[in-house]
Amino acid sequence: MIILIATLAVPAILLPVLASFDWFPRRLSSIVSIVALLISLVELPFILLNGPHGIWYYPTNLVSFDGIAFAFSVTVITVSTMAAVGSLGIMKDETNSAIYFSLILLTTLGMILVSSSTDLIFLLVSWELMTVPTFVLVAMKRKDKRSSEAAMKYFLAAALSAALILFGLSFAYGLTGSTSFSAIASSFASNAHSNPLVYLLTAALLFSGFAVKMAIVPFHFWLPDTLEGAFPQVSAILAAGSKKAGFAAAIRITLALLLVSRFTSYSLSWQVALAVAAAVTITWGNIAALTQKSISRMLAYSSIAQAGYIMIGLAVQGTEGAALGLIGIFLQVLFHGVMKGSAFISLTNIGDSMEDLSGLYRKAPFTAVGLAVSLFSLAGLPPLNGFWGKLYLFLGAVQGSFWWLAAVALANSAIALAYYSYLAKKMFFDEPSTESRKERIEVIAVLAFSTAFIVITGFYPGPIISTFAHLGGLP
Amino acid sequence: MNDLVIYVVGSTLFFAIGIYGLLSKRSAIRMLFAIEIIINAANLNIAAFARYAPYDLGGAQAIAMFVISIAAAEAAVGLAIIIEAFRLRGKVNVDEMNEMKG
Repeated sequence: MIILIATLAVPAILLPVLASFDWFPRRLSSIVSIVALLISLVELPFILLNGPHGIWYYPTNLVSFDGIAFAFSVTVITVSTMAAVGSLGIMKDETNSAIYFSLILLTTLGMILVSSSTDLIFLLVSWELMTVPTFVLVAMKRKDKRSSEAAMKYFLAAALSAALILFGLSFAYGLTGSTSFSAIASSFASNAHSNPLVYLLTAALLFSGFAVKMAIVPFHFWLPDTLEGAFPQVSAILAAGSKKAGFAAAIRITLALLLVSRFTSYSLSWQVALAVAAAVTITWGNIAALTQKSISRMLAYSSIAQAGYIMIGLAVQGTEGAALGLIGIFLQVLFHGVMKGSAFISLTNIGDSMEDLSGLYRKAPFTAVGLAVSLFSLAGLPPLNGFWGKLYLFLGAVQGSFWWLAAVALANSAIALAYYSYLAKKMFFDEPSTESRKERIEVIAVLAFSTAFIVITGFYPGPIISTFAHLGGLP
Repeated sequence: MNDLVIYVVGSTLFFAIGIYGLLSKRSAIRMLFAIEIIINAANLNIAAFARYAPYDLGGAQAIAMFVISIAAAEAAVGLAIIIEAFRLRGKVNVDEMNEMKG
């Protein structure tokens, strides 16, 4: 674990310093960052095989690299690598490119630590390590009003999320006398049913803090504006990477706080509350996506809907469908990360308005095919990998006897297919209306990877599913 | 034990004031202040629990220091963003930021 942290942190700290000297070649910082990300991806299985052991102790384990951490770390490193490769072109002549890549490394490290932390204080510090660099990344388009507006809204939302987590943390600490998840879990298990209200409030504060990041519906207001204003590559990191890290934290809270507490005196269980939140989020995201005129806003709303699908996996914890739900979360997180990341990165070649899409196949065939594969996979069409994540989540909902939730999610898949096919129809059958752009080679490289990944794991999902099933068995 | 209740009720009030400020104020600086109030309410909670809780709470000071430094780091970046927005627009009213519409 130390080696993994050093792989990302050392280049992240050294690159901006070195880049301030004249003799340092500017292109080197991007290559070093991408190599660091790839090395860290290779290191992950070895860390997992070493066993989930902690490295820092105060008074108990702060970090444990278990199955949840592995599944989420693979996702966030893949997404960050795609974003870093996709940024090579737009950062070529930028004077701040070393800082840009250093911030990508730092936020990736933050996401890995969030998904592997087993202590609330460590979680909070990693949360900030993940969030604060992305403020700067969103504001990176200098002299652009939209970028500064996006950064401002994102900052206020993220600061609210940190404040909510912190307030929940203070109650958890006061109630249980510890900040480690295992100690909190045992205290919740033995005491929560006697005085459920204050324990439920603590869990709700923590969960709503994470929900701001996950963009669950009452807390989703910042996402479309932020993703529209930022660089598409940064939007990819936000929508496909740091949102997922929020889910990692939410899984741990669900397993450590909600699942062990027997809130029997309440007829409305937390599972039903999460299921309702999931249903509302899916429906709201898909309906709002139907009416958007900007592609990045549509992708942002569809990413809100996808967050709702992942919420299904949380809602079925503690029921018959728990194992299927957890596998579904892992699959959906990895697959959706790659699809959404490549869809956002492809916007670099396209532009942001719907008009730019018309006749895209004739202007930029490679981009059009790559984007279309991502979109149909987002819709969950069977031969592509998006289908498998949704299938496991729906099966989990059915087994957990949330029939209505599975029905709502299925109906929404049809709505989603409608607007994705509308985009595809524009790309392949409409006449080109705007000037063609040059297809950037690095974006095509990212799209080639994502297309290959989507198709191959779509036809042969077996190895990944069995790996995740094995990981889900770990605590 | 009564003292602890006073502190917790006080910090919950501060939390409510912070949420109210966040929802009702439209200047980005005021909203930042509201968030700082929430963070400090949490800090007050931690300090009160460390002093009055019946069991031994080691490390509360360390947690409070962590919280203060995290809030400072966040505010530093946030103020930089607010200054950039001010340079581009001349004001930092979030209601008038509507370049993007869905």
